[in-house]
Parts: sequence; structure tokens; C-alpha cells
Amino acid sequence: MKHRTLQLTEPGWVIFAAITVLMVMGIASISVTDTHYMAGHDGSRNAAKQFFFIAFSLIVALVVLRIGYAEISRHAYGIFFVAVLLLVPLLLSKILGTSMGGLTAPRNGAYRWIHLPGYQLQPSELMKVAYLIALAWYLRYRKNYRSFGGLLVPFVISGVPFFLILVEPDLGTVLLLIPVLFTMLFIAGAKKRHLAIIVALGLSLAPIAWHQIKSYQRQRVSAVLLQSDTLRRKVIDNPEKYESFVTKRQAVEWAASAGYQLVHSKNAIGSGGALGQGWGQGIYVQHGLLPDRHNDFVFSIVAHQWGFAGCLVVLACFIAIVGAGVRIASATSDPFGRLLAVGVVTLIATQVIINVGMAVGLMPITGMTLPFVSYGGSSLLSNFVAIALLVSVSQNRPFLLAVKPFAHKRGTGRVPFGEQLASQGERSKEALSASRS
Amino acid sequence: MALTTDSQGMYRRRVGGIILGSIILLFAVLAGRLIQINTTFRARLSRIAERQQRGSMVLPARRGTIFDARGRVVACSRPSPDVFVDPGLVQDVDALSSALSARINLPIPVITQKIRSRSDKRYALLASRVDEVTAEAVLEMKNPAVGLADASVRSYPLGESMSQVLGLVGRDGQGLEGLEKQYDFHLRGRDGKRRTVRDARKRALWNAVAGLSPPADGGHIVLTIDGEIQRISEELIEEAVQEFYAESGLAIVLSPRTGDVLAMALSTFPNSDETPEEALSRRRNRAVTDPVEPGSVFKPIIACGALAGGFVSPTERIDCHMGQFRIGRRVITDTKPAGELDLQGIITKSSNIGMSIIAMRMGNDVLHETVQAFHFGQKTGVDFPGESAGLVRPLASWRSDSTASVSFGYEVLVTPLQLVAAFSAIINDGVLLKPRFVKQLLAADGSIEEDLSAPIVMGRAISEEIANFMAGDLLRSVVENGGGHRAETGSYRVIGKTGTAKLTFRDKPGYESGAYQSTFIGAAPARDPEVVVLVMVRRPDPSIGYYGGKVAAPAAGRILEKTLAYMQVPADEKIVTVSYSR
Repeated sequence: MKHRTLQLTEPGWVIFAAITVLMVMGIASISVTDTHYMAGHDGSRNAAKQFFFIAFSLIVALVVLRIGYAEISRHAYGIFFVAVLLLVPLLLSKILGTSMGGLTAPRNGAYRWIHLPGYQLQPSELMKVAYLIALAWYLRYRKNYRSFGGLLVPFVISGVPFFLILVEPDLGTVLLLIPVLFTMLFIAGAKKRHLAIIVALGLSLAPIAWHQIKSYQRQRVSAVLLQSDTLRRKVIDNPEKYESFVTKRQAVEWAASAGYQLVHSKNAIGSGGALGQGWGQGIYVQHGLLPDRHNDFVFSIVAHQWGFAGCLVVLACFIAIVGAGVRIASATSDPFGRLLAVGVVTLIATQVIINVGMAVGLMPITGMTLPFVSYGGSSLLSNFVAIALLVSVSQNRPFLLAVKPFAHKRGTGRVPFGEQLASQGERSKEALSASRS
Repeated sequence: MALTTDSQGMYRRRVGGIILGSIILLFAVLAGRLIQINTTFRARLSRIAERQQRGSMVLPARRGTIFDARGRVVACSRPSPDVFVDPGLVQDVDALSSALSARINLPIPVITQKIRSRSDKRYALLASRVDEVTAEAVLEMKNPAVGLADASVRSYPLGESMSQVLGLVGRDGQGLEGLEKQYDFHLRGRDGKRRTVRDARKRALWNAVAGLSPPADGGHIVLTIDGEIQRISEELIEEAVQEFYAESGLAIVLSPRTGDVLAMALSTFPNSDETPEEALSRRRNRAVTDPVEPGSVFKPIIACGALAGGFVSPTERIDCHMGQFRIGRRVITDTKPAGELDLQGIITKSSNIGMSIIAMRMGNDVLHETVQAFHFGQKTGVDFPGESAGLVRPLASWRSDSTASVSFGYEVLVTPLQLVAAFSAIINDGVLLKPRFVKQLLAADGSIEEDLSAPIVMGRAISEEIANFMAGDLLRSVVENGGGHRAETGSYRVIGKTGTAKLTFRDKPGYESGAYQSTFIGAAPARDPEVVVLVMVRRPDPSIGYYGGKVAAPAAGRILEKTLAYMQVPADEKIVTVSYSR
């Protein structure tokens, strides 16, 4: 029985409207930067390519909607396995130092792309979605992660893609997946205390990690801190004191080297003012002063053109998506669907926070796109698939109205979210099989 | 049941609320930061943005080429960039230094030191004006920290030849001396300008075309000087200077019918410990800038004036008092004592006494007029910077003594170029032409922009008859029978006049004994001279020789002979074979 249609639910419409606004702003920004010269890029066709990517992603999203998240969930581990497999050639290239005949040629020293004819596949983008599905699938009925030891498995599962993506290296994607992991564990019912301990452990390892990561990655972190004139002055005056953290030269040349992109991003935003320079206007549009302005720093260009008002529109769109997603998650009684919905919401929101955060100098600069706005095929595809899954969850909503009678146990009137999910196991399975038949 | 459902719903909503709330909180932080950037930072940031935009970059125009009369390149500019390092982009100073060392041929420690000493700057110059091979080798490194700055170097394919005439070009491509300065307006071109915007790596973006004004390359000039005649003159003048251990020497070759300077050679005796002053005078084009007392070569000029005013007739015989003649308290002497001589004899034997007697008949005012008729004391207006006008004092300050002195070439200062120009007027039927160095200005694309080759008449110095008489028998006699016989060539009959002037002390008034300036001014072939040549040798060693006829005439003769042969002027019908010892 295929009763799922492409008819959208109400939150689905909200999401659709928000994404449309975002994509229009994105295309508008990409197209004006196309017409102006940008160092090292023949950027003249980016807007057209973005159109194509959107069309392609939309088709894929419709296919996902049509299949339905529940059907896809059955292949959760398979999808995850395929995504891991796609990361393997990148690992091999990195270790062996070959580019497999150009197939995995590195850019800026990073092995992130599989160069297919006419398309550059970024497996870590696909891994985002695959990871979400697999994690939600794993966590859906369990309760053992309520003990500290039980948390081990999700972390081990996460460890595989995290490791593979870190090796590429693509720190940004890993930083994105960590909040997703924690939010989903939290939703699934893991104890806050346990999660706190893990966070504390992770933070205590930070000094070791600080020395393990590449110097350019360290510089990106220090570059954010060096925004402060006071701190720069201190480092310059007293370099010995800060030696382990940053060198004097880095402080002196901050604005011209590590901080260059940030300085210009802030310039672009600051010169945008309240209402901006206007569409296609302003020096940051007309000149390629700001590297990556059509993808990772598209937000700065949006701010430059449409000012603070434009920023608010973008943020409001994302809030709308998040709000709709949370409503979908709250409304569904399927634990897998709920985990999935919350995962998607977290994924989108975290990307926005990291991307905008780096544009305004609150986050280190990592390769992170702004969903639906930034130029880039893989990013669009993965975000569209994620949103399609979310919408799909909303379409399956009312299947199980009644909650299992003996759900609450502790007499507090409050059933832990995770346990509640677990107790729904039997019925949910029935519901799923019914929905499939 | 209802309670359970409610509590579950509440719980879900609460969890959802927590998530939504945290996300909104984080978004609010972002929005707050945006407001902060927009308000407190805004003014400052806008200023920075403006400044970033307004870079400008000079697109240097290419300086024009200088060709000689026959189209040989004598000066041209070729690109020769500076190699610099941006210390801010250097990852590993030692690795970079060792990579650069072999390419720019500098020791590793030197490079390291240069980079380190400017580690807080964005520009460290390593090597200036490198050749193309080096530039290419540097480019091959593809190291973003290493760059080439556009610059060009002025190259002179003929080496030191005519260096004093061509002059100098400064580091920024501006003409500083000589013809490079005189024609700087034409050679320089107009630099272009490009408003630039910088990209992430501080490179100017070449395609940011807003505000582009393209450079206009400089035009070219074609000299009247012929590189070959110049070479001949330089070789021979240098030979003469070295042979006579002279301080310096110069030769000018001029085309009397056009005023074209065909060669201007200056030589100084090699001096290993020359003072800066001497080094400077070595670079100066003394033929145009340094006036001298001409001495006996001035006699034909005065003779012209005497003939014109009828103070002497060609056939009149004048008593020359056998070498001793007293005027007032002054005794005039001749090196070759003679009795009665006609004008030709006076000039041929270069009799000071004869000239003084004629001059006394003329009087100071006519003398002064004569000197001025040949434009002495005025700039010739030659196209060369720093020309001296020489010195002809106003008539009022001439004393009675001056009459005799001026008649044999003292008390007036003339530049060698003025002298040649005046002598050329005698050959050119009495018409004084403006000498010049450049005959064509070419546009950057090589087309003729301005043709300057038409002779410029400055005035008539004397009548055609007198000029032809002087240029004919009279001056021929000097070479045939007089002191100028060493200027005689095998192929061409030469006319001319010798001169030996005493020189004053360098640092005090009065004439220094043993310090002479030996001069010969001549032209050939005698029937219709094609070229005039002046050879002037300063301070020859008197123990070897100092008479103009001995020191300067042979060099002048050989310059004439070689030049005319090179110009393919037919030899005179009757080949005169003269043997002279040198």
C-alpha cells in the first residue's frame, strides 16, 4: 500500500517556504559574485550550477519522500556501510599519498573529494545523513545507554566515521556531528550526568588534541582569539608568555594572514549596516576580497547586500525550520522518527551556528557551508535529503495515537523520554509493519 | 491514562522546548554579535573596506629605444625585475634561502639575513634588476612568498661608446643626463595606472579593470650620430690621449651641410685613483658643457672678419717682424719667425704677430662683431642639456690688450661644439647651422612622428665669397704647407687649422707652463667637404709633443680618412702620398 503522497503537512509547508527563501537569497548572492572576478576561479557559471544542484537535490528529496523514512530506516546500517566505504578510498589516498589517477586528487592538502565526471562527490557530506539514520536506528529502542557503559557502543559506532573524516582532514564535519550525537543521546534518554562526564573527559583531552592537530588548525583557533586588539598587543609585547599558544609573528600578521578572511568577513558585514548596500552592490560583491564568498562565506555577502535585516531573514528562516522540526519530533510517536527529526534539526542548526559563527568571528574557520544558501552540490544534496527525511516523519505522524498503557513507571508523572520510547517498542513495530503493508 | 498521555506529551514538548530554546538562544548570540559588528565596528570597518579598495598600481611604460643614424640600437630598455620576498608568507626561511640561493646566485646566509632583518615587513628585496633567466628560475619555484617586481634596465649594446652623449637613466627610468634627459619627454612614455583590489594573498587582481589607464610606451629617437664614425673617433682619440699621455681628448665629427653631429668622442687618460670630481668630469659631455680658450684655431674666424671689413686684402703682405713684436708693454712672439707674409702665409704659419696687426686695424668693436657673427658667446641651441654659452665679454670690458689676445684665440671661451659649428659655417658658404644630435622622433610603433632632419639656419656669419676663399686655398695651405701637414691623408685632400693653446692653472689665475691644449680642426675632401672634424687634446705630455699639428692633426687626419671611406666618399683624383712620422 503506497498511501504516501507528496502532499505536504503544515510543518512541511513551513519548511518548504523557509528553504525557498534561503535558496533564493543564496542564488541571488551567488549570481552577483559570479559576474565579478574572483581570484583563481572561473566563477561565471556557479549560479547556473547551483540551479542544477537544486533541481537534482529536489528530485532526490522527492524520491526520499516517496519512499518514506520508515522504508529507508530498514536499510540504515546498509546506507551507513556504503557511506563508510566511500570514505575508505580517501583514507587510502591519504595514507599512500596517491590520488588514484586523479580520482581523489587533494585540494589544499585535504582528501575530501571523489572527482566524478561532472560532479565532485564529498563523501563526508553523505556521511552526515547516513550517520543520522544509523544512529537513530541504533538508539531507537535501547535503554542500555542509560548506563554509562552502554554509551560505549554509540561512541564506538561514531568513532569509525569520525576517524575517517578527521583523517581527510575535515575537522568541521566532525565538529558538526558531535552536537548531533549528544543531542540524540540526550533525546534517547542518556543521563545528563553521563553526558556531562563525557564532555568533561573530552575537554580534559583538549590540551593533547591541541598538540595533535595540524598547525594550520591551531592557527584557525588562535586566529579567532587574536581578533581582540588587546590580546594581539599583549602577545606582541610579551611573546614568551604566550609561546605555546601563538607566536609573535602570528599576532603581528594576523590581519594579513590567519585573520584575513575574518577581517574581511567582518568588514563585509559591518559595511552592510542595517539595510545593506543593495543587491549586487558594495565592494565585497564587486571584488573578490573575501575568499569563498560564494560558499562558506555567503552569509557575509548576504549581510553586505541586505544588512542586518537580511541576516534576520536568514536566521528567521532557520528558526522556522528548527521550530517546524521540533514540532514534528514532538508530534510523532515513532521513536526512530523522533530521533531522526531531532537529529536533522540539530544537524541543520549546528551548521548554521558554525557557519554564521565563523563569519562573525565566534567560531574557528572550518569548511562549513550555510545550508541551502551556500554554493555546493554535496551540501545541498545532503541537506535536502535530511529535510526530506524530516518532512517524511511528519507525514507518518498520526499512525499510533494511543500510548502504551503502562508507560509511566515512576509515579512522578514524568516518563523519561528514552524509556518512553523504549516502552513503545512493540507497538511501534506493529505500526511500522502496518504502515509498510 | 489521560494523565500519562498528558505527561508524555508535556515531556516531549519540554524536551522539544529545550532543544528549540537552546537553538534560539545560540541564534540570539549570533544576532547579538551581528548587531555589535554593525554598530560599534561599523565606522571603522567601512573605513578599512574603503582603504582596501583604493590601491593603485603603476603600469610602467616602456622607455623608447635610441637608434643611431643607420638604425643601430644604441640604447634600449628591457624588462629586468627585482626579486623580493614577502617575509610574512615564508614558512621556512632556511629552506627558502637554500632554494633561492642557486637561482639568484647569492649565498644562503645572505638571503637568510635579508629575510630575517625584515621579518616584520612585507617586502624584503633580495636582488635587483635580474636577467630573464634568473627571473624565470625564480618564477619556476611557484613559491607564493617570492615575487618579482616589474622594473626595467637600460641597456647599451655598444657599451661605453657615446656614453657621455647618451647620458644616464635613473633607477626609476627617468632621464638624468645627456640625450636621455633632453628627450626624456619623448622616450619616457606615460605610465599607466590601475586601481587595484587585493585578494586573499595580497596579489593585485589583474582583471579588476575599474580605473584602468593603459600605459603608453615611449617613442624612439634616431640620432644623427653614426655608431661606426663614433667608434672610429673614439678609437683614434683614445689612441692620441694615450700616446701623448694627455689628460683627456675629444673629437667631434660634424656634417657641415646639415649640422648633424656624426660623432662626439670623449676620452680621458686611464686613472686608477681618480677623485670623484674627475669621475664626474669623465661622465660629462665636455664638448658641449666646458668652454675653453680656443687658441690659434680661432685665427680663420678673425681673418674672415678682417676680409669682410676690408682691413686686409688677400694679396697684401704684412711684416711679421721676425717673431718679435712689441705692443705697448707686451711682446708678441711667433714660433716660426717670418718676415713679410700675406694672409695665407699668416694663417699657414699661424703668425700671432700677423694676426695682431690685422686685429689692431679692425679694432675691438669689429673684432667683437666678428666673434658675435659666428654666434660665439651664445648657446648654439643644440639639443643637449647643460650647454654652455661660452664667454665673450661685453665690448665695454675689452681692454686694449684684448685686441691682440682675441685675434689668436684668447680671452674668449668657446665650447668645442661652437668651434666646430663656426668652422662648418666657413665650409657651408658662410651660413651658420644649428648643430644637432637627433634627426627623427619615432612613435612607439616605429612610425615617424617628427622629422628634424631639415637644416636649421642660425644666420649668415660671412659672405659666400669670403667663406669659399677661406675654405679653399687658404685653409688647404695649412695642411699642405703648414703645421697641419700631419693631417694629410692618402686619399683625400684635407683643409684645416691647427691650434696650441696655453692652459691656465686649475686652481689659480695665470697660465701654467707646460700645460697645453692641442687642437686641429679640419675638413675633407677639400673640393667639397663632407665632414668637419675637431680634435682637441688637453694637457699632453710636452716632452712627447704639444703642438696641435703634432698631437691633434694626425688623429684628425685619420678620423677624416676612415670616416670618408666608411661614407664611401670617392677619393680625390690625384692620390697624394704623404709620408709622415708619428
